[in-house]
Amino acid sequence: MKSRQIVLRKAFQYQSLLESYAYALLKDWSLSEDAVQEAFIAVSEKWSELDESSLLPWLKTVTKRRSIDLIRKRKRIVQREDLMELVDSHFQNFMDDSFLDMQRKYKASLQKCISSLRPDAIQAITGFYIDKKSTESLGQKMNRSANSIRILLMRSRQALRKCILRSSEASS
Amino acid sequence: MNEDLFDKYLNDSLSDQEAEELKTLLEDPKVGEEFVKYTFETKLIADMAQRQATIPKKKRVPKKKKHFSKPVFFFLAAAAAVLFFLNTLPQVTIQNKGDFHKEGGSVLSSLRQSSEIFEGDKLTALRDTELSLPDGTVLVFRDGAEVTFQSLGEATHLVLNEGNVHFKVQPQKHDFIISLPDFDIEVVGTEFLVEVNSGFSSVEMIEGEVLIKKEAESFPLSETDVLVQRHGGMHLVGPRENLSYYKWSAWSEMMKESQDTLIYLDMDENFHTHNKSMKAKLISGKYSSGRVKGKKSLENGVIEIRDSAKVDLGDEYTVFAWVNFSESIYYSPIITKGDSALRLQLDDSKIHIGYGENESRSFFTANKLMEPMKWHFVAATVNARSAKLFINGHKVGEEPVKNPILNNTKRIMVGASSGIPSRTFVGRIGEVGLLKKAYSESQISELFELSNFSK
Repeated sequence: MKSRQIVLRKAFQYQSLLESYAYALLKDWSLSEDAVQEAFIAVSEKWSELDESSLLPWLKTVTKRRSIDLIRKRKRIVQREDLMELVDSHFQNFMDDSFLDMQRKYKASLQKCISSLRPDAIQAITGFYIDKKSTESLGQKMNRSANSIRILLMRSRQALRKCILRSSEASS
Repeated sequence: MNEDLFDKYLNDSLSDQEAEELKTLLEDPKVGEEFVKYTFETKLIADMAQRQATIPKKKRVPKKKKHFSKPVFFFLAAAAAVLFFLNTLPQVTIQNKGDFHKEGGSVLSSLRQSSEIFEGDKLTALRDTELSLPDGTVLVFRDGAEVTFQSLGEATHLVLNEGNVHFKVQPQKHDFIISLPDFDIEVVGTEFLVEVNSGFSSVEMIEGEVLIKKEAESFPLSETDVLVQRHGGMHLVGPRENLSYYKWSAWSEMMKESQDTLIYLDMDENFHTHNKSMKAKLISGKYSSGRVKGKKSLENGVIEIRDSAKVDLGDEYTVFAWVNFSESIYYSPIITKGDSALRLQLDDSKIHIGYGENESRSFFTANKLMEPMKWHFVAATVNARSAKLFINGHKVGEEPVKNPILNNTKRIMVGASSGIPSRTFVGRIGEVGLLKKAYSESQISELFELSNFSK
């Protein structure tokens, strides 16, 4: 039997995907979380009209609409609307249940691999991707050049990818 | 090469030429797919790195067994027997670690260790403490939590009136119901946290399953589910980490709607007061990660609010802020209105309040050191009688006030002093509030509890 909680539970499975999608449009973590939370509130109101197959496309549409509302509300100037549309079209194409499945596996491996990173790599990742600090200001804070921060970020991601690959090979 | 452009796009720092270059690249579906994957990867890595950097690992502390001395046991058993004959209401013997206030009918008493409770008794925890029911069910109370034991016969019915209780319920043969203001929880045997606070209730599952019942609706909650009830609506908020977002929103909305609020600034929405015509302006600094995942704080920054009749302080006020200072320096302003009428600041890791104008000007510093790089809730209240300072809901200083004149025509500044602009706060400032009443000590403690999501 379909109930609001079942539909919501299914919707929450897409949370991480939707937040990444909203982030690609808004380029702001907290706004992207707001957009997705608003989409979930819409699900809790309209759950009876939704079925499992239409849930993800519907969530994508609502998340996009909420993201655009937030851009307007915050008076953010989208300098390249054409670029945003192009980004959006790629997300519409690739974001589906099989992608979700792949992401889940990736996430499980990442959980193990992230602890192998050095503290300075963690600091650079949170500073650059969460706090949106420039490589220059991170360099200043960490007593390094901006270029070495860029290299640290790139190498950390490469190391994580290698670790994830090893972990998936080992499990298969 | 592509990744560098992807990063710049996601960090909003593409030049026109780079944007054009990225657009050309994204015309290729393969690059499009690479970009989508890269964005997802960025989100996951950033989330996990943040968790790795900030969240300490939780340790489960094994519960110590409670032993009672024989004399205490016999005394309590005798007392229980007397009570049994005096009172025909259903009752149970509980073992508690002390410091509950008991209100049962006309009886008021302070319980110690093993005690009798009767149907209708209401217990309020006077500190973080716990009690066990005869079947081994444990209720861990946070300070201030209040539970009424509605029914104690075969079926157990408890009402959580207020606060935060962690339930570890043993498998039950009969009904075990916990009522919250808007719904009931039917328990078979499981572990979960329940919270009731000012228009906000939540059930956070740890193990097993419970059944939520609201009027005709009934549905199960199982491990890792979190349910939130607020503003008349019930939301399943999914994984546990979402809960702080909802708690933060409930707290933020409450401060915005309060009639006492002169100013409430949350660094996400930039600025709010119930008078929307007031404007705040970011003068310097920037927003960075806040106390709650997804929410922001002001880092090494200054916000200005122009003076107007709407921010007149009257003859009393409360001011509070969540702060995380990175350097212990003398004169580190948190929120100020000029250099006198209102000046909440840190002085060498100690909280300091300045108040009054002209001859009535005064100030004092609490003699308690605060730890850098940690979030603290700091507050001050000033009225015609006294000025008080608080850290994390506890009073840390008080001084008498003579002839207070609390108002002036200076602008309000967050993170700086309009009197001496070169002095600024070093670190992060979260939510800031200015209320038109001097709150009582218990109200300050409640403000801290409501806005503290780390518990």
